[in-house]
Amino acid sequence: MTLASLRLALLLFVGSIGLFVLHSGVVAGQDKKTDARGAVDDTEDAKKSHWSFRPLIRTEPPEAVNGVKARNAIDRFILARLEKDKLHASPEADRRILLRRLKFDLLGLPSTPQEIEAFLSDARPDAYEKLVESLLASPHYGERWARHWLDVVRFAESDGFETNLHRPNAWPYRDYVIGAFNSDKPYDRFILEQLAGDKLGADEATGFLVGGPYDRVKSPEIGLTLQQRTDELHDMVSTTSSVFLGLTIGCARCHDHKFDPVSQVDYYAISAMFAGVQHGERPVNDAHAADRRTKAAKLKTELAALDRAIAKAEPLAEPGGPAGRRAPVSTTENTERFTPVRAKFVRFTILATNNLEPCLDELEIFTAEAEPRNVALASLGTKASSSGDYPGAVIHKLEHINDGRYGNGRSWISNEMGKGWVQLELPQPQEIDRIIWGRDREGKFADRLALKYRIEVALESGMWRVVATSEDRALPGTKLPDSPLSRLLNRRAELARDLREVTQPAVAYIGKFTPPEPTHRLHRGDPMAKREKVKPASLASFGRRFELPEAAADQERRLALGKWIADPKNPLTARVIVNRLWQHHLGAGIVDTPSDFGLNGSQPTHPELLDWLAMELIDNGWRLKHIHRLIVTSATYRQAATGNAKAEAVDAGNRLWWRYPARRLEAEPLRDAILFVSGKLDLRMGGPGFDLFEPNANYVKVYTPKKAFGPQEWRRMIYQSKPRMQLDDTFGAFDCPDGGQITPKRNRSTTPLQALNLLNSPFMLQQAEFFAERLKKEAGSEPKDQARLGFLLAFGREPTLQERAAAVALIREHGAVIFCRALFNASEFLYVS
Amino acid sequence: MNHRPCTLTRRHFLAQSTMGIGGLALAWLLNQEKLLGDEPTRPELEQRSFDLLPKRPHFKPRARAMISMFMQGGPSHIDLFDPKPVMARHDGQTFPGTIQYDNAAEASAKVLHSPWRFCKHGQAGIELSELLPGLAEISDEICLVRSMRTGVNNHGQSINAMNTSRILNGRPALGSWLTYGLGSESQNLPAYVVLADPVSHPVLGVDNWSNGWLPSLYQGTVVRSQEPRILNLDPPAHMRGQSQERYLEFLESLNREHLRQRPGELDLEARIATYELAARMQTAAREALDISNESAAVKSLYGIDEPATAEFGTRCLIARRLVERGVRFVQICTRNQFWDHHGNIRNALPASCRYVDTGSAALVKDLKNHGLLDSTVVHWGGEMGRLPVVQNERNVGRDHNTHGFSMWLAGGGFKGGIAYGATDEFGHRAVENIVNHYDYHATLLHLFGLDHRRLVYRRNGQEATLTDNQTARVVSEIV
Repeated sequence: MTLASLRLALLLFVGSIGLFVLHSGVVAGQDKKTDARGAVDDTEDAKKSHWSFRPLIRTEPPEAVNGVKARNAIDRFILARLEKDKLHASPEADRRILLRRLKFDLLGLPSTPQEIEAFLSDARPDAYEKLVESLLASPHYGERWARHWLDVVRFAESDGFETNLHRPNAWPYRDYVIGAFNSDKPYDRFILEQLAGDKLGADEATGFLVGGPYDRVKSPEIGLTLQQRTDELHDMVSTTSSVFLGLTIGCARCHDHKFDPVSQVDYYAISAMFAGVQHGERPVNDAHAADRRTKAAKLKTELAALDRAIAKAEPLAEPGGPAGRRAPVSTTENTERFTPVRAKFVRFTILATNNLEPCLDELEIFTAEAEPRNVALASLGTKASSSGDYPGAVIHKLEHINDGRYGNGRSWISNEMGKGWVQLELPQPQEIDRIIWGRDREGKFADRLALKYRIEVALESGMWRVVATSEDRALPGTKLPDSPLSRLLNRRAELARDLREVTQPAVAYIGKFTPPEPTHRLHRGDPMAKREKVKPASLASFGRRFELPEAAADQERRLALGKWIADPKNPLTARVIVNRLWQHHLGAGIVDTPSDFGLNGSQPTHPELLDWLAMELIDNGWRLKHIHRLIVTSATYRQAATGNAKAEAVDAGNRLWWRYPARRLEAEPLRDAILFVSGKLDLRMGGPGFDLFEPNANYVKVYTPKKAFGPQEWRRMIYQSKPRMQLDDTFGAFDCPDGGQITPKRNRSTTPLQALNLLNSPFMLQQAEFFAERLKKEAGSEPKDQARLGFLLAFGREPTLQERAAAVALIREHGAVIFCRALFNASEFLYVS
Repeated sequence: MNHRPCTLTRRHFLAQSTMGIGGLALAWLLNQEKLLGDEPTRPELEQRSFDLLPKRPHFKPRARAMISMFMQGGPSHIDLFDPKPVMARHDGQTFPGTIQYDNAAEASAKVLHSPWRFCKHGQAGIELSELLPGLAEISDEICLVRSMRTGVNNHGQSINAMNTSRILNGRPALGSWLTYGLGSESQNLPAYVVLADPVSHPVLGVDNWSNGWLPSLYQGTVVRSQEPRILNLDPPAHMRGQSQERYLEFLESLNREHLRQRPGELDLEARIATYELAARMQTAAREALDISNESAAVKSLYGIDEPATAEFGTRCLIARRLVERGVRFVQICTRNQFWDHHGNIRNALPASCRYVDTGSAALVKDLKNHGLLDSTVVHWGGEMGRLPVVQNERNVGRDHNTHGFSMWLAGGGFKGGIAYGATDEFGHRAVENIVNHYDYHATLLHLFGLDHRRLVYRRNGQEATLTDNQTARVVSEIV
């Protein structure tokens, strides 16, 4: 193993241990039994009776008597706990603030002046609930919440390690997660699909398994290759266990877990679940496959009809005819129509090319009948011969000329510069009237194109008759006049492209499955120190126990693991996910070590509430939107963010939620909001991401940040093709995780580098200019109108008289760009309260 | 600059400033120095505000600044600082005792005697490995501690112990505590600067310089290892001058008004402060990070004229320039697991030494030449040492050892030319004059004039300290 890969392997290892997070003072962790050196009580009793390993308990929400009215059960738990410390909840925030808070929280986008207007004037008693429903129904909800999930599962679109190569086909997993949130996929199903989507019609979901780093540089040394493999499995084990169970099973790789009831055998039993999973791409049989088949059939029918129309409209070739009668030679596809002729042999002779040896990707010969057939296909018995073939290339072979497959990857190239011929011999004579040929029908290559050629047919060998030549074609580059034929041809090109798209076997970086290798317990985690074999099995200490036979198939293993995790009886699964949702809505988890519910994690601040939410989730079909709805409609969530000296003295960290926790926007909603306000945000969803780094094809990917940005970079940031361990120059400083490790909880830092990036980066300056253009366009040239609209768009409110005066003065003296730049840097823009 | 009275420095700066700092910021800058130790107990309900103005410590300080060269991964003390001649007799044989493996992947019990020679150096005669010729030249300046111990499993925990005094994540780093307690003597550079390695951050990444639950004002600011060392430092030319001033004024008035309606929001205060600092950094940071005016002799001293030593040497020189300009705490980080020599130690350890030895020794010499060594603590060390036995016989290396390891300190009140404490005869466990990580922290704070029990931050009704009620001792023998 190279130094760099060793480094990352160790980083992963440490990362999984490094999740032991802080005790958080007065509330969480206070009653944890610790000795003077901070070690945790890890006696066997403590391990077994740990709160998160015990079954869920449904507690009746307490009757709270306190200043603020409880809107639902959440509030009753929160208010009762506040009362214990003689604290009060804060009053409800005003509507304008609530709208801004909700929209950022659920969609990650700012509100428009129209939305503000509509919400403020909505007098219905359930206006707020209606707003929540409409936001939860928005497709942008999935984009916002998928980002939280992708943090937790360490998703990134490059390998990591020293090559850190791009994974161009990793994005389908991102689209899967966005879709899952949007369709409110039951969470138990969501778990199952990510572990065994190949069984459940959700292939892309297994991108989860291989979302982590992968060391592509395999060592020739057996010890090191084994080490690499065990590191891959370790990543899957520790990610799976921390994401779904909040357990640091990864810590038991070398020895029994120091704190939790997880033995080293447990670790390898879980590791065996993934023993058939390999990094890499596999064809996607996604949910749209049936859809695509229908579409393909339709396209084919349409194409056939079009071909018949074209066949009639295509001018006949006229060997020796005047130049310009027919279209110039195209790199993708050329039709030669002639009066029907009986032939057994067809010869295509190239006399000149635009450069190099000529290339043909396919030569098709059509019969002159109502339903024309391509009789050139080798599968029908047609034989190909040639003047000579390009030597030594796997993708360029004579047999590709009539194999029925298009593209440079299945083509023939002559062995002579600028010339060569290829001949097809049909098994029996046919009445033919059309030949179609191309250089690269996928349209990627334009070199090696035959510019001068001659096509001959013969009934008997040697009795050649010319049917078409390049002489009557227009010169290359000549534009065809608009005609019924050109329109048909354009339409045909479109349909052909669509057909290619829907019929191409789609592949994605979602893992390859192989028969599982045997799993051994490794002494001290050393892959060369194999001990007894370990069967795939659940953890021994809790949940429903199961064990699979050693011979269990790969898919069976993953499915069994998924079912075990998603079992409603599993005490951790539901607790862990509702805690994650709570954390993003309310600033911190009820357990503030969201991926460690073990003995070394924090204690829940509101254990009864956590269990109540977990049971709500299970009882409501594992629908996450149900939990979102409960949380955001609670009075707890609707509180103002205003400070309160008395409460701060007791609970400065607001772990009891006596107010709404105001927060800075994370990198993604911040960037999205800037683009949204400048009017440039492209809300197109799905598909491959955009790149913030310059392309390069080095063996080791070099990440050079782009200096200039155009519309392709103005999509929502979740669609940034996210390399591992490489952060964007401007927004990376805002605590973006780098995909090197799972990130259950982001830092929230405040640094002068953030200020500099927002002040002076090329991205920001460009967007400030667009924002100013927008103000001018929508508010006119009057500075006071520009100032007003600027405040409305950026802060969701009117400026005060004083603010407007200051803004007008600034715009008059120095222009609107400077004003817009200030709005983007204002705390009010950056914070949600 | 850091020997002049602080107030004068700031006035001087303001007179020169062209960055258009608003009136409120001016008042803020001219605020009276706050006396941390003598501060009367404030009423419980008072809103707290935080700043980076210089604060008077509890008692007369010896040190005013610190440069920590953090050698992440665990340099092998047995091969560098702590000679064990007894091991020669056991080389290749089974270790006679119990070994405390930490993260043992390929552990064996076979003793590995150091393949490198040790010699006595300087008047004090401290024995050092041949791998550190630069350090040998300053051996009379250093205080070598051979009895460090954190005693916790693995890198992350031990890094936390060395950085934050506790093994758990999430607590404030040493640099955050120092800047919280003492503020900064420069109001136009970050108080706490991290000079990052060009390849990667150490294990735990940005948590190494996290403010934990202290206000984010006290977080370390990362300076890149390549130009531009700070991205986006300047506005474009057409936005400079008066328009920039008016712009910043307008922004500040927006932000102040926003804060006024949300009193006591620490994040918002910190954000305003970062904008002010960012504006001042535009001139100050460029000047401080630019080494082009340093003499050829100084550059050569740091090894900047040699490709193998230039990168680290440059960061060391920048560290001196920052301290000279009043920065309180500078951390120079090595890359991820730079010293984690589980394998191939025979080649990898000398390579790591070559990378840092010239620069780190030059830093001590140069600080002394500038009269800064007396008031600047220099620290060189990692989160652990290595075991006396072979790990992985096919590719010889050493495994982690947090039960006994070495580090060195210089300046700022540490005694020079001493080696303190000892490990057992195999270098496995610290046995004599053991220095735990929290003892080290208490000692450091002591040199800065701070009592580790009295440097408190109130949170959740409790008084939090760096050493967190551990039985820490000021190691008076070495100061």
